[in-house]
Amino acid sequence: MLGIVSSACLLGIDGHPVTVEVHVTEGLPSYTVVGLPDAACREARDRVRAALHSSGIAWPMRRITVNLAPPTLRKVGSGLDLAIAVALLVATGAVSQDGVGDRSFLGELGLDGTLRPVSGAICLAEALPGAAVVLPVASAAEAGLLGDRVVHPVASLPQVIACLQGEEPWPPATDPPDPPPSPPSPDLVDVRGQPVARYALEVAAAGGHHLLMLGPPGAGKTMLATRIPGILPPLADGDALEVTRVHSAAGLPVPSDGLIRRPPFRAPHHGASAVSLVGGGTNALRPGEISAATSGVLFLDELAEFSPRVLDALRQPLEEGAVRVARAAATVRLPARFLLVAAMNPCPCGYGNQPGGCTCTDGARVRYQRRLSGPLLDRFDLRVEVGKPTVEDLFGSARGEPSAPVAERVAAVRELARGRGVGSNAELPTRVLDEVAPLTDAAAALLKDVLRAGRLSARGLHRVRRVARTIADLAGDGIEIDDHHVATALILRVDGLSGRPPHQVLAG
Amino acid sequence: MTQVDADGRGAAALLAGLPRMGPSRLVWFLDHFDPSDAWAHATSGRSDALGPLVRGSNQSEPRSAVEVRAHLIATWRGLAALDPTEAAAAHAAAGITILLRGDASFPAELEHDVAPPAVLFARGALPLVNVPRVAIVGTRRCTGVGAGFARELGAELTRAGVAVVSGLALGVDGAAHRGVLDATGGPVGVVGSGLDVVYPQRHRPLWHAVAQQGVLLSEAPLGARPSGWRFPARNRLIAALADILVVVESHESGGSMLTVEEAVARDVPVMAVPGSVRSPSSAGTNRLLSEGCHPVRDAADVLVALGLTSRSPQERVDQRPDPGATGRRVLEAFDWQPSTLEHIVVRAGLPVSDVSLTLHRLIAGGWIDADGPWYERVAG
Repeated sequence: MLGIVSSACLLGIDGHPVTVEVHVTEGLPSYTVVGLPDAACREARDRVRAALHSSGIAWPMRRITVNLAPPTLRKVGSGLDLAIAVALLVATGAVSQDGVGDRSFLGELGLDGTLRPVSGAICLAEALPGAAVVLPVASAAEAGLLGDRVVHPVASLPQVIACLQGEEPWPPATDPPDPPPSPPSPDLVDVRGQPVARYALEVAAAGGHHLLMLGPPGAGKTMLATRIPGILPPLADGDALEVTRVHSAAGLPVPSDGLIRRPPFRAPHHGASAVSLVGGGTNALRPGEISAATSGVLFLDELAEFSPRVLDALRQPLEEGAVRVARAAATVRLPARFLLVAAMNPCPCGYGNQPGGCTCTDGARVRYQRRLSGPLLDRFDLRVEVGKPTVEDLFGSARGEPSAPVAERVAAVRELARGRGVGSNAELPTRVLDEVAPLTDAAAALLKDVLRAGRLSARGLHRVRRVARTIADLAGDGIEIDDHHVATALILRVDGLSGRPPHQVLAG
Repeated sequence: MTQVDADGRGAAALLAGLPRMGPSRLVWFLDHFDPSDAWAHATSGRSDALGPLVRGSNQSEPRSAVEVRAHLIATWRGLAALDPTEAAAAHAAAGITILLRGDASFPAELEHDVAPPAVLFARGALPLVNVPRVAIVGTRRCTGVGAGFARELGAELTRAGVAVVSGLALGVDGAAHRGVLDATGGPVGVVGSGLDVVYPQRHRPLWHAVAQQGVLLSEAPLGARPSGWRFPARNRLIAALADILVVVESHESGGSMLTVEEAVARDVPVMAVPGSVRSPSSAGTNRLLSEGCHPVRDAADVLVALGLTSRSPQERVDQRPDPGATGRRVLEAFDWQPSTLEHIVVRAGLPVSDVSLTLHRLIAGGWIDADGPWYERVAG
């Protein structure tokens, strides 16, 4: 007898439909599964057998063949457990194929028959062919986001069997519980003094310009970086859905009402491998940290401690806004549009940029700075020196501006960018710059001077214009870019890693 | 072209290049032997070939004194095949003069020094007679203000007829030499490596300029690497050649402080340039001042200390464009210390956009120098 059930499995952040066919026939008891299952999939046999037993159904002592179609797609994970169990029940005659009907089944089985949630529920649900999907309660809220499917949240295998046999009605989707209030983001009001660093944070958040903070240890670079999520606007619907898909597929926690609204903040440790950062792995091609940071912030603390190979792997995603992960079996394209924020000491002792302050040997300093390639450093449009707060700053009475008004300004600039057809000013294509960021004569003259002096390249020129556009937007100054906007953009972009020791008298 | 090494200079050069041949041992050899005999004795392999006793090695492996002696005797024996005639020819071909104590052109103060050099190698003219000499030294990691001052001092002393001696190191030394070249004078550079081994690499053009327009001196023969121990040895020569030693900027400890000790041992007066108490690169010089060294505020202070009466430096009109009101406010916010954008924004009390534009104008006008994210005022 044959049982056929629809299900799905995950590749990257996309679900692919899987047809589970179970064939039971007379012969020596055996269990064979075909269709490129991975280890977790192969172990389904033991989980299903125990779950069936806990539900009061004996494992058939017959020859069982499970086929997971299509045969060329690698089946990953434990989400097919429920479908295999249901198809097996159909094949043994315990339930009828009509009972299954048009429904698809997703879920991992515990040995006691309870249904456990699956990663990537929303991605899988998207790929399912049927009109209705049966899946664990904890994954139901996510699947419900799609809106076009009937969702039946179920708690255990016995419940599923009862519904299939017609003894119970299929449970309807319930309103998901409101998520508990999330703890407040760290607030800018805690940052004392440091006006330039705060301003750079605002420009980075408003325009999506990548930010590099340089300075000695204890200057507060990490503290500043963690304040960025608090000034970014909540995710728009389309972005929220994409972020939810990525986080779900990566196995990261998703709020109980299903949708992620807060811009993500990912801060991988500098020991992270290239795969954990970029995504991949041999089987499921899981999204990495850079995809989890899409529409949010990727914070790399101690940038120089990251392996150069890992940093090199970031260059292309920074350019394209996506990462292509290729393996022998498949290639997936994962989103990777994030705001990159990094912090580092300019040299091993930390005081490298201050003239006369660095105590490192020439060799140590050059070796340290060589870990970061020029092309990677070039990606940072904002490079600011963050100095240690002074005693007056720390004990002074003046508190900094809180995050709320800053967030309003940032949101207003993001709105302006949307009006120009992009998500943020950093994404403005070069060809529209003349139209949306026209220069006054004074601004053009200043740029020409800097170009002639060799302090700016052609690509740098376009980047400076984009940053100047954000600066003008923040100041509420209208369409024209004036020389003080350009001057500020240039100042915020100085090269903090010249490679040579602090102030040497140059030849001539 | 073969020249007979009649006066033994080739042998002296080879002797100076033997491993572990320090200044005092070389002096012993050339005091007790003629150069050619000294070379023969040193490379003879005899048990007394090393001259005075060898102390234990200071390398990581402890070896007994006997082992060290034996090893060194064998090493020197192995170099016996080197030909003094060829060495003399090589030095001559490279334009290097080999000077022995007793030569007419051997600098007098070095001849009678407490720790004299036995052999000197020189490239360029030797304008060292009857001219007052000032050594200018300082840290490699100096501020822009310090480097600028060293350069100015080098130039003004040269114009006043003083010879300026320094070590061709990065930072203050290089700036001082450049100042002398600015005033079309002859810099005197004392280095720790062979005169054909440019160190540091970054000073290659400066090295050649000093050799061409001034003189390069060393105790090390052709091909000698800039080994660490050669630099304190070189510092004593700088101190020995000077009538006055001026330290422009120094951290708490450093090579310049060693040069100061050598100067004190020779009763050479030491003067120091005062710096900001906040600046780490003036910590050493400020300490020297607190211990009684006279301050150097400008070249006139040095000339007075030398006992030269000279014209006061002319009032030079600042050629730079007027900075304007905002520009002046920003310049005041500098307080003559290296500052970041943040320091200036806070001290000047101006918004970031105004400061940015003003900084650009000041950089273009030559009032400020930018080094990465730090900015420094430039003196007129």
